[in-house]
Amino acid sequence: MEPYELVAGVRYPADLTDFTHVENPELQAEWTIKLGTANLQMFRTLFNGMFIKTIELDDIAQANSYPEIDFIIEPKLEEVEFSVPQQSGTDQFVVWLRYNLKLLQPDGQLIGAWRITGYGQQDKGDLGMGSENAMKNAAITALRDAAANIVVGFPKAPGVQKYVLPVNDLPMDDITESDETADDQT
Amino acid sequence: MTARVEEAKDASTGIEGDESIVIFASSFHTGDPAEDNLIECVTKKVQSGSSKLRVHPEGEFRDALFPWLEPRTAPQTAEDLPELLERPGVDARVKERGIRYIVWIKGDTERTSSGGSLSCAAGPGGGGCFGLAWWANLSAYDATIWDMEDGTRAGKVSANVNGTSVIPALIIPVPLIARTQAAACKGLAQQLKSFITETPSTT
Repeated sequence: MEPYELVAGVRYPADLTDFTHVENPELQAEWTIKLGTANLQMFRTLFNGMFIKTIELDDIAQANSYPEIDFIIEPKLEEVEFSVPQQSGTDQFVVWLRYNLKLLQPDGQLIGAWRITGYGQQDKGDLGMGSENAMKNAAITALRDAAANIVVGFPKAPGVQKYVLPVNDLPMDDITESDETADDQT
Repeated sequence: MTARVEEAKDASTGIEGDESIVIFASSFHTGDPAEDNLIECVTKKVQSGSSKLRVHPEGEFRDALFPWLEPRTAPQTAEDLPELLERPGVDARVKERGIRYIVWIKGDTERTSSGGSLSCAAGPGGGGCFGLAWWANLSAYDATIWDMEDGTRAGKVSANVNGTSVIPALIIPVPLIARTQAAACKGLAQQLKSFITETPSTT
């Protein structure tokens, strides 16, 4: 992946970096899925590869101290769902993740809210042994899927072409306006 | 146990000593990705024995080409391969690693039928099992081979193995297991090696 000529300010809220999902499916064992560290690693690796520079911010107002910042991203994991083979009747562990990436101008004004999903599945393996590993691998696949979605979809994310990417460098056919942009937020 | 291994070649093949292949399970978006243990088994067997091939670690290659080999973004057919190779940096990364072929494996092992009855009991004087239980498995896998040098599909290799496992029990159960997946793995790996190196198959 070739990085965009952009400096991104990134704020990782605590509910992303400490994210834990606990669920007790009917007649099944309780599952605890801790995604905080994985979220942080995934977004750090992703954004460091996508942009020429990233600056981590403790809060949005801190962006004022970094005039080189072109825009700010604030990712949030809104929803986690999973299914286990006993529920689905298949031999697959499946994980769905739904993120909301808030895109902001350096002054904190909202550019757009970009919803991204990630999907992962993993077969339960020989004799169904190692269900924790299968669930973990399904979650990793879902994280990678979300990351791929972000890389591929970034140019068409809400407000990005208007406020973030240098418009003059884009072919006119690519310039479309999205539903959820700063214009719509006012 | 009965096994059938076939190949369909679309183009001539061959591989140099410094070239490698990468073996992936097909994307779940295209349906029916092969199990991880089957991929591991084929990878291990392709790298051993006569006409062995160099296999590049699929995880490293997937990371190097991120995001273009993820289930959502990977080319669905060989017709999409030129588009992948034209993406910035992709062709260079493929060449750096000496990747000549990508192999996508799909398929699974299913229980097709079962029957019989087996019961076990235990008491103060001892215990035992009586009866007979059986089940039949079908392992069916296809490996599609893409030639990264010219960006086309080189062909397809398939393995179908049927087998019936039986557990007769007269006090002690004696399982006679038909390992259809292992047989499919072996057949597929041997055929892949001969397909790529263009040597006559021994199966």
